[in-house]
Amino acid sequence: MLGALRELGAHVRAFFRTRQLDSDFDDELQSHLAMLTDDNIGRGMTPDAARRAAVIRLGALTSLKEQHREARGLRMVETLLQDLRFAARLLVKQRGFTAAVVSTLALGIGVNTAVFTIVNGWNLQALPVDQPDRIVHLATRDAAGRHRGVSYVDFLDWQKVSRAFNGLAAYAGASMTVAIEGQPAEHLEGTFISVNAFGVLRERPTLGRDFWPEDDRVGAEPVAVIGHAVWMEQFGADPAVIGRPIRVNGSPATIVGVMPAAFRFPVLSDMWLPLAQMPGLATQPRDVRPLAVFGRLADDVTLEQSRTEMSAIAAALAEQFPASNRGVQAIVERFTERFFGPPPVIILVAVGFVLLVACANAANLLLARAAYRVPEMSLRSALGASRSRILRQLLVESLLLAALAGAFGLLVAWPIVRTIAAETADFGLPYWTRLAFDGRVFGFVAAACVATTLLFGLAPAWKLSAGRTGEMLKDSGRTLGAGLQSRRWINGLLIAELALSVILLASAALLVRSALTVYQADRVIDASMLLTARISLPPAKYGTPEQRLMFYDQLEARLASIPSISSAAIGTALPFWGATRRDVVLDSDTDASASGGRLALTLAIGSTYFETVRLPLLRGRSFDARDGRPGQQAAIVNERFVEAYWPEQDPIGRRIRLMDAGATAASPGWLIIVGVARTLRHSPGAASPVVYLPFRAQPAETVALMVRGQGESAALARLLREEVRMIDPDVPVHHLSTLERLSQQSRWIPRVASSLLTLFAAIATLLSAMGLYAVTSYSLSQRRSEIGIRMALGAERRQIAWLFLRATLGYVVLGVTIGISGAIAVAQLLRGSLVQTSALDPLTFAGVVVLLGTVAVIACVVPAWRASALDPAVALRHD
Amino acid sequence: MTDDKAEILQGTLDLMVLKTLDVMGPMHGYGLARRIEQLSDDALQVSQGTIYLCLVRLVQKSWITAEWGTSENNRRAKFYAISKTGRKQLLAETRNWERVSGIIGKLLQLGPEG
Repeated sequence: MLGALRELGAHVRAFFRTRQLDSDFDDELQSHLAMLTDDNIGRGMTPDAARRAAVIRLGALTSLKEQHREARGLRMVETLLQDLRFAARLLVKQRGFTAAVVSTLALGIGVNTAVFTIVNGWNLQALPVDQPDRIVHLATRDAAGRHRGVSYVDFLDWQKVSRAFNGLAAYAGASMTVAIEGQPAEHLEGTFISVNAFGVLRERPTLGRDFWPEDDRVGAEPVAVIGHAVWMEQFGADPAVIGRPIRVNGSPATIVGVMPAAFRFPVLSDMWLPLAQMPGLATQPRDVRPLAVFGRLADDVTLEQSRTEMSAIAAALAEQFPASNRGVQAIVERFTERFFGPPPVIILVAVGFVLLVACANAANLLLARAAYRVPEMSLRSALGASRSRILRQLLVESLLLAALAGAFGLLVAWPIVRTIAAETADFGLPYWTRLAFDGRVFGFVAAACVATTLLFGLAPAWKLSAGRTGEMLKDSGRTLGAGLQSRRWINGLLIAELALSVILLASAALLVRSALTVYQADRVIDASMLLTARISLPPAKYGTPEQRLMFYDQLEARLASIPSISSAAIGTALPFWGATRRDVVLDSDTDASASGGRLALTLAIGSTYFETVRLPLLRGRSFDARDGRPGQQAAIVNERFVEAYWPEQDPIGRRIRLMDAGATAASPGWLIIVGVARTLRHSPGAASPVVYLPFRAQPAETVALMVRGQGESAALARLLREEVRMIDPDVPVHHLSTLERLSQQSRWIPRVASSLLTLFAAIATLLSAMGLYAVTSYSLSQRRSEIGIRMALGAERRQIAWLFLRATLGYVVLGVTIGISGAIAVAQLLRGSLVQTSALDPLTFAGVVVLLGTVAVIACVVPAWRASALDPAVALRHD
Repeated sequence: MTDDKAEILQGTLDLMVLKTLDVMGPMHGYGLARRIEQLSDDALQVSQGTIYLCLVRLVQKSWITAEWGTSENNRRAKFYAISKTGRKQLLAETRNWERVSGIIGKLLQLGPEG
């Protein structure tokens, strides 16, 4: 074993000293010759004869040197290098061909790299903690199949009973108002978290201490752990921050620790408080489920085993507490999967299609060129090159092409990744996500290069290396290369390219139509010049609805008195986002406690909401100051609600009842419909039925604020902060944005999906057109003499052009037909992502056919028309 | 078929070179070639250059070492010497050779009645 290793080492060393060892061996042979000549002279030969005899006795020097090199060096590597050198020379020589193949593949590899970089950065990143694949996320699903959190009491039971985890911890994100002495209150993203959480993650504070079990007891002295950024910015990285008192949500707390810079678990948290400090948590009933739970799988426990255990525990709890837990299941997932789910299949399939089209195109270029290389291959084969040797040489050429394409592909991917990164910069993506070219991306590019080499290079290489030497040499190759089999390959690939392009074009068109529909629908309001913000009232100071209402009334009055603000409104949610989903019971329902699956999004709004957003009321009236007071239970629904639940009926004066989704609590009171508003989206995707409630009926602690005014939004924001501070300096204004930006963000996924697919479709179409052009030109070059004869016999230019057009158009028609059937199948998969757009929209499909047909005809007509311009004399002489 | 022949030849040549170097001490390539030609009564009809392919192989296996020196006729030449592992190899090969030739010998002595 050791001997073999040493021997290999000797070979490697010899390989790297080839030149030196060659000259060394040369010296040795010269010395051998000299001695042999000496001896020959000693035997009485003349010096000349002696030397000649010596040379003969020693053997053929060149071959000897070659064998010597093979015996001591690395034969495989040397021939590989030889192939590479040869391939490189060839590619440099045929620059046009190289450029065509490399750019084709670079587009294909590039978009795939971009998509992989995004999937890698979002879906595949692991939590930056010890053994991240052991961290799992736990939640519940209710009887109706809805995703829910975990109740505090359930969590305690899980913790007590489960054995599959090395620690279970719960958390709940919360907006936190943090006041440090001498500074205005700041808003932070905070997290209430179990005291064992950092231990489960195996992370510890860089400064101070972790939470202690005592911190989680009711009545414990309130403590807080802050994030590195807060420590740097608010406390100037002062090590004496430990023990400093602060006010969190109006209550005092003491800082006990600072977490490391890269730690913002679970998403973008800047501060952590023990779960015990979460208001009202200890007394919450089992059917209130505000928590998320995570845990570290115990050693030797698989995800599947933990699922089995948790479903047994959930079943036991359901039996014990049927009122709250019947039908409630536990869900266990890998932690990071919880946030992004599986990668977007549509995009992955689409981008894979682009690579296939690119490979088909490259294969066609290679096949067409193969015709010109038949003589070369015949010669090699005649000189004794084995088929595998020729195959290897051709594949090395393809690999070199793919490697070049991979390098350029990174250049293609870079701007796409940068754009996505820039657009998502303020999306609040989890702290562990990262869009960058890391080792995994480079690995992907390398794998893509090898895969594409096999995809586009193997078939042409196999064909080209298969030739029977004699026949090829005899036929001088040219006509044989254009043989029937080769043409069949080329045409088949062309049809596949066209079909894939049609599928991509149709999918892109459907997604674009859907995205445009949503965009158009959003134009119903004027979102420009509308500043948005959130304010959070510290619960300690604003514990009762009356206290909160007083604050909001004051704020509304102040904002109304400022001349540069034309109108302002408050609400529990902003348009496009974040309304609460509730079950709806109609006055016509026989069972007044069951909604029959009717759902609506609900939000509470101030009386100036419609005026500020500029959303027209179609019927009835807006809320006034009386609505929402006891006995004045009014509601406004949107047009969509009427269409869905009271088609062709007058909704004014009708009554509805709203039930919290999944809740089994006693039924709330009836609401009277007083108005109908134009439909405006309150969730991503399609517009749903919405019920607007008077703000007075549920004055929340955190509300959204909309301000329409003149001047810059930055100035407006300053003004808004100032006004809030005047009322109460402990109330922070946060999440400042504009409604325009929010609407863009809420449409981001359909917009990016449709843009990417459009890009892919455009590339595929371009490549197909290139392919058609190349193949038509190629078939033309193969049939020059035929053209010459036809023209000499009096064929007209138009007839010649038609001859070529007809041949290729047949493939276009076939490709488009196959593509349309494929597109119809793919459209079914898209159905879920389409908003108010039919998956089988005939206009879209007709448009795609016309577009691709036009491009295809142009790609065929140009070379065909040029072919028909040939001078018959020149064409005939060509052969 | 030709491959098999070469292989046998190669193995034999290796053994001859090792044995010669073991007995005669360090030698250069030409000297080795002459010596082996003499020993085999010119039965091995190969070009002298072949010896170098054998030598480089043995060097790579570290069974022999090579060093430039001066020949008896005052010419610069590369001298080869057997190494410790080479001696071990020679011993093993010799035993193996004796065993095989013993078996072959017995086999060839068998008469029809045996």
